[in-house]
Order: sequence, then C-alpha cells, then structure tokens
Amino acid sequence: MILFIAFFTIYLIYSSMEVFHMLQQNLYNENNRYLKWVRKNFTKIFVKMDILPILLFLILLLKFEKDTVDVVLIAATFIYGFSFYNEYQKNKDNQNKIPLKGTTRIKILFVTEMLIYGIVYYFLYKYHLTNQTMEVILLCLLGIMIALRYYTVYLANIIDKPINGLIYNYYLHKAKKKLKEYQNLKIVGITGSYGKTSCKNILKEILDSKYITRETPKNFNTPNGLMITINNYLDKFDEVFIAEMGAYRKGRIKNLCDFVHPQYGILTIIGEAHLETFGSIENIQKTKFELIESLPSDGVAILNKDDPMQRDYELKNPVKVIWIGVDNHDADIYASDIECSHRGTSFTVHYYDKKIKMRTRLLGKHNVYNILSAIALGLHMDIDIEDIKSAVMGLQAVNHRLELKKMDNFYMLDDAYNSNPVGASSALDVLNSMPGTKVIVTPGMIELGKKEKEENHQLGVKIGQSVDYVILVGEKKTKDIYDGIIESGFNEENIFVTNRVTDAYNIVKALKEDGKDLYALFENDLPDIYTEGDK
Amino acid sequence: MKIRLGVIFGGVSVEHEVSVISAIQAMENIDKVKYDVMPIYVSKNGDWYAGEMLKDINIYNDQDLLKRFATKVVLYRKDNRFILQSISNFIKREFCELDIILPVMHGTYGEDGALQGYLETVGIPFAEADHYAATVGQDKIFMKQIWKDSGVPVVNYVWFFDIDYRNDPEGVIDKCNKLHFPLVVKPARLGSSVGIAIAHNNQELNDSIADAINYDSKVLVEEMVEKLVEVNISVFGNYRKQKLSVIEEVGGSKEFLTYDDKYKGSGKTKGASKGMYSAKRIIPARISDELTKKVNDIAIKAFRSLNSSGVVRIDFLIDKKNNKVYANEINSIPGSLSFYLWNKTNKEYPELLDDIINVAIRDYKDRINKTHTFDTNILSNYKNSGTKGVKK
Repeated sequence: MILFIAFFTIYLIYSSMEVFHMLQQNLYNENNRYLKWVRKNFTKIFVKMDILPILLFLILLLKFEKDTVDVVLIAATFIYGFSFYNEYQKNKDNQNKIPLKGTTRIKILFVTEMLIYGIVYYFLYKYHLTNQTMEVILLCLLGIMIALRYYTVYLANIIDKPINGLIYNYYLHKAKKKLKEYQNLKIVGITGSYGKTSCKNILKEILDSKYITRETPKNFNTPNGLMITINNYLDKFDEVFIAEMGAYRKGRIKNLCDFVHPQYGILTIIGEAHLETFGSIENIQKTKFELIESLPSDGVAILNKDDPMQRDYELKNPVKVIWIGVDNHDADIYASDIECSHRGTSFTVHYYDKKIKMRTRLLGKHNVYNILSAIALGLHMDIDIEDIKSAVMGLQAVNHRLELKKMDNFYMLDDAYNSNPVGASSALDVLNSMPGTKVIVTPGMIELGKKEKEENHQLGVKIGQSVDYVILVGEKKTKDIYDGIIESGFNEENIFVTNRVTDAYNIVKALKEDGKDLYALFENDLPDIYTEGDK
Repeated sequence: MKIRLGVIFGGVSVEHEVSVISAIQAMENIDKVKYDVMPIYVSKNGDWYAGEMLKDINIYNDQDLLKRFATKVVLYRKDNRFILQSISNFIKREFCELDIILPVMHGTYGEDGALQGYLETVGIPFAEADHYAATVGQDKIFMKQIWKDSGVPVVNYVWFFDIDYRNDPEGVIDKCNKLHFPLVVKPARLGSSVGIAIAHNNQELNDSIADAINYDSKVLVEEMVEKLVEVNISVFGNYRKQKLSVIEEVGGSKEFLTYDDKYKGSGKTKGASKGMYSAKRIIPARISDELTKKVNDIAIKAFRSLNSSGVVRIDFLIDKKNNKVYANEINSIPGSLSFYLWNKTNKEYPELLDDIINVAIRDYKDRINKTHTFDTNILSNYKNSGTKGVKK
C-alpha cells in the first residue's frame, strides 16, 4: 500500500509539473485559453496507459481479499512506475522550450493539488481492507484524477482563485505603498485608442534628457502590468514614471488613475479600437478622458486639437491644458512644413511664439503628434529646447512599425506589425510623401469583423490613388482590395497578385528603375517578411 | 525617500590619510535632507569598517579604538538589495542597506579600478570613474599612450619595467638619453608625487631609477618642462556632457611638488587636516586668455578620451618660454573632489556632490539599459556541441 502511494505520488508530481507548465503557458486559463488548449490537444496529452490501473482496481469488485488487493496494488505500482519512466524518457530530450517558472502562484497551486490528493489518500488509508466499495471507489478516483490530470489541476486552479485574489491585493498594496514613498516622483499617464506605445517610447527618450525616466515596459498597460513595473522596475533614483494605460471597458482608466495618480495626462488619438466591448464611440471618449478628469487641479493635460473627439469634449476638470496640433495652427504647440524622405521626417515646431526646426528618423504624421506631445510636456518640465531637439534626432523606430530600411536596391517601409485601418492609411500617406517610385505589398486587413469587407475596399481605393505599383499577397484574401483599386481607376497592369511574400520581394526588386529611388511599403501581417527583411 | 549613500575611503594606499580627509570634508558637506550617509572606512590592511562614529576625524588618531567600536563589514548583493553585512566576531547580521556608493579613495586599490571592478561585480551603482577610466587614469604610461593617440599633447617620454633596468641598465639609460635633460623619473602607478625625482645627468638618473623601482615595476621617464607653470583644472560630467572649473596655478618653491608640498602644506601645524586645500595655489591662474582656452580644450579632450565620469582634476604643465601646454596627469578621484575649484567657479560643494551622484545614477541607468537590450542565449546553441571551445 505504502509502496503504491509512493510510486503514485512520484508519478503524480512529475506529471503535474508538465500540466502546471501548460497552465502557466496558457496564462492560467485567461479567456478559457487553457481549457481550449486541453480540448484541442487531448489525444496528444492523454496517456492511455493510465486507464490500465483503473481497470485493475475494478477487478477488486469481483474479489476483495487481502491477497488480491496486494497483487492489484503491486501491479498498479509497476504500471505507474513504468509510466513515470516512460514520461521521463519522453521529456528528457525536450529542453529547449520556456521552462516552468516556480512562481508563488505555482507553489500554491502545487500545495492545493497535493491537499486534494491528500484527502483521497486519507480516506483510502481509513477504508483500506475494511470497506470494499469505498476502497474501489477511492482507488478508481485516484486513477481517474491522474488520468485526467489536466482537469484536476484546473479544479485546483479554481479553488485557488480567492487565494490568488489575496496575493494580487498584496502586490497592489505593495505598489501603492512604494508610490507613496516616492513623493517627488512625477507620474505621467498616457492613453488613447492607437499609438500609446510609440508615444510612450518617444516621451521617455525626450524626458530622459533631463530626468531619469522609467516607463512601463513593452506594451504593459493593464493594472497587472503597472503593478509589475512599479514593484520590479521602478527604483528610488527614478524621477519620472510614465504609465501606459489601456482599457477595453468604461471605468478602467479611472481605476488605473486611482492606483497610480498621474499628475500629467496625454491622450493620443481617440478612435474605434475595441468598439465592441465599449458599446459606443461616446463611451470610448468618456473612458479615455477619465485620465484627464482624474488629474489633480494643478496637473497638466496634453490634448490633440486635430482630434474632434478631444476638441469637442467638455472638460469638467479645471486642469491646465496644452493643445498640440498639425492641422490646427491655433494650438499651443504645433508643427508645420512636414517633409518626408528616406532620411526621415523634418518639421518646424511652433511653441509659444517661438519656432525651431527639428529632424527625426521616425515616419508618419502620428509620430509627429507623439513628438509634439512629448515636446509639450518636456517644455513644461523645463527641459531645454536644444536638448529636446537632440533627443528627437536620436529617436529610433520600433521594429516593424513603419520602420525605414535600406534593402538591396530599394527602401523598405516595414509596417508589418500594423493591423488597423487608421495605421494603414497613415502608412500610405507616408509612402505618398516619399520621392520616387511607390510600391505597396499587402495581404489586406483581417479580423475587423463586420467591417472587414468595407474597410478593405476603402483601403483599395486609397491605394489606387496613392501608389505606382501594387503587389497583393493571397489571391482570395485580397479580392476586396483588388476591387477597390480597380474602382479608383488604377491601371490593372500595375497590380501583381502572388501567394508568397518571397515572390513579392523579388517583384519589388525587379520594379526598380535606374536613377529613381524606389519605396516599398510592406503593410500588415506578413510573417515571412522577417526572414526576408533581416537579410 | 532618502538615498542611502555609502562613502568609501581610506584604503591600502600611500594616500590613505588624504583620502580620509577628503571623505570627511565630503560627508560634512553633503545634503543631509536628500542623503543618508554611511561612512565605510577601509583600513590600511584592507578591512572594511562602517559606523556613524567614522564621520569624526578624531577617531582616526586611535586605530585600536576605531577597530573596537566600528563594525567590520562586507558588501554584497542579496535579492537586488545591497547590504553591508557585519562580520564582527560573533554576530553576522545586516548592518545596513545601501543604494549607491561614492568612492573617495586616492591611489592604489581605490582609484586605480580595483575597487571599481569590485563594485561593478557586486552590481551596486557608484560615483566617479568606472573601472576602465580608473585603471587608465592611474597608470601614467597607459594615460600618456592614449592621450598621445587622441591628440592630447604630452611631454616626450620613455618607459620600461624594473626587470629591464636590472638586466640591462646601460640599455635603459641609452633609451633615456634620447630625451633631453633634465628628466623626471616616476613610478608609473603611484599618485601623490611619491618616488618622483629629477635627474640632471646620468648619475642622478641611475639613482632616481633605482629608487623608483622600489615603488613600482613600471617606470616612466619624461622630459622636464623648464620655465614651468603648473596649472590644474577640474572637469565634471561624463562622455555626453562636460563642464569646466576655473584654472588654478600651483605655486611651489622647488622645481616640482613633492609629497610634502602637496599634502602637508606650508603651515605645519594645521595643514595636514586640510589636505589638498592647503597646497599653495593661486585661483584663477595667472595665464593669458589664449593659454586658458588651450587648457580648456585639451582638458575636455583628455577627459573624453579616457571616458571618465564624475569630477576629475587634470594637471597641466605650461612651458612659458614656448607657450606650450602639456597634459601631465588625470586624477579620477581628485583630492577634496576639487571642490575648492568649483566653489570659485559657480558651484558650492553640496551642489557639486549632488551633481556627482546624479551623473553616477545616469551612468548606471545607461549601463543597465544597454545590457537589457542584449538578448541572446549562446548556451542554448552549444547544448549538444560539448566543450569544443567558444569563439568570443
């Protein structure tokens, strides 16, 4: 009996690690990811050998004597021992994936799981050789629990929910306490429907020229992301903290503000991202403005005058507002004379009756807005305009986000990570402003729901009006774009349709004419681009 | 929230006492609203002591008393915290936690990169030069080689190892004779004028070299500038931005500053406790605008070519006859942190200290940001290839 329990437990612990690993990889079943994954891979992860002991235990229903019980248990012990050996051999060569991280959460999950099994062990011990039905039921239960361990662990995860809530609160409290201790820290909140991450990166570089600045890394913009940043990254040397704030629902930005209490707020652009969860564009507007309404009365808001959703909003907070703009020259800080080339963008910044010319390697009007908001805040924080100018000059493009690269014989505008119509349109504007032959390579936009057909058609029309050559990747997917392009009166001979990105790359190379620069925009999810682009 | 600043001083160096004086001046002047200061005294045999009482200069007169009452500590990292741990006889406990370190050490083991390398290994942020700049700034031969290559004017020199002189003294003397007498003989890596001598002829040259090799295995021999004016300037910043102090002129009755001139001062009674501050000096230096500009330009070049950081003092030799300026040496951690030059410029000492620490924090952040962006796992590629040797 003891031997059986021992082997069973070893096998259990070993195989559980695998399950924990998968649960962790699937973000602890966020959006049912884990369950979906288990269902999909069930045949692969189910070990058939695990059924055998259950059948053995059922024999005990027929004959319940000490000898039989011993024999069955010894047989089961061997089977589990063998399964353990099998699994071990299988996993031995399999070391290159991301390993299981021994987080507090996993430790608690492990303890919970052991408790569940411990209860069964206890009753098994109690009824051992005394109660036939109970012993068989319990043994079968163990057999089933381990055979379906992916669901057992899921159960343990559900049980842990309240405990995890407590842990979450603990870390939240810790982060709040840390922020309270750093009284001199200046906190900036950034939100908007698009471009939060680029805006944050640009602001970080500019503020960093005077203040030691810590930003939320990557695209961390949830309460959890802010918490991790504050607890693990922020230190007492930091003078400015930039918090990117994302939201899918009303009230979420308010929650984030109640947590970090920004004194400065920046809105990028208010658009239709996550329209389904918000319900209406007014809700989106209200939610994004939660940041500005939450600012203290001596705080500063930086708003975009070119965005009607910002211009028309009636602000209740008496906070100081600095307006930026490109089209509206009555903004406090605005840019004019925007020029693009393969060297980047140059423009004149007008600020409080003064002006200065600036250059950046970044492209796109949205980045000019981002730079203007950063300038606005930088000037407000007493950073010298010359230092700002030099920081703007040093800004680097993020990979695959409208990044300009010199290829074999042409310039590539790599916008492969973009997936929204606003970004695509902006990328086209950039392409349009370049001197030379203009080519677009795109598979069209996907996952836009009901509007997909219409958006693709519109994109096609815009493409037809902007470029010299079109290369469409994927004949079926790009049907709507194709129709749009034709509708705009574009010459059919200048459209190429192919099914492979590598082909597209070669077509671009062949289109290059002597003495004329060629700019090729690679727009939207083009996974193969990376192997091509990294040459 | 206050920044916990550890000030390290003393050390296994001929400039031990000067370092103690410099450190105590610094601790007295630091902004106590912003910083919590913990003195860390390195004794002459290399033990580390910490404790409030080390802020008082009088305790250094009685080393036995100091060792009895101060806490013997080691610095290490634990879960990304930097801890001074007590290693006194019985109790091993966390003595205090530090955020950043200001080394105020002069000469060997403290200013020459050894301490800096240790602090970098522990991972704690620290002020002043990193180990690269500190190493090059201590070895007068490295320094001259880099400066010469970067277009910073230096006087003509030769160098050799002690073993070269022992094996072939005539050869070394011949080498030196390519230079013009009088010559200055210096041990390459000692500061504070220790072991330095002037030779007007081969007899004196032999004597001076024989003396110098007692101090260091590397010896530098260089031409002496006649009609000499010695001036110093302090440079503050890092490779991105630099600021210059006023220029001081160093007065000396003899041909050059001896150790006694430099640190013991003229007034024998109280001079010692004032350190560099008491050397005879004229601020600003009595030199023409043209020479001032030359010194300023060369100072920036000299500072940047060594990639120094924080506050340094660069010593110049001016040949009055030909109006020529030579960079003589850099002090990565100058005596008194050169505050007496900055408060004659535009910066009081507390502000200077705050600036030094801010630059240190900035350098530290730059360093960790740079390493964070490097993301590759060489080991994973070598999993199956065994130990065939790794090409770096």
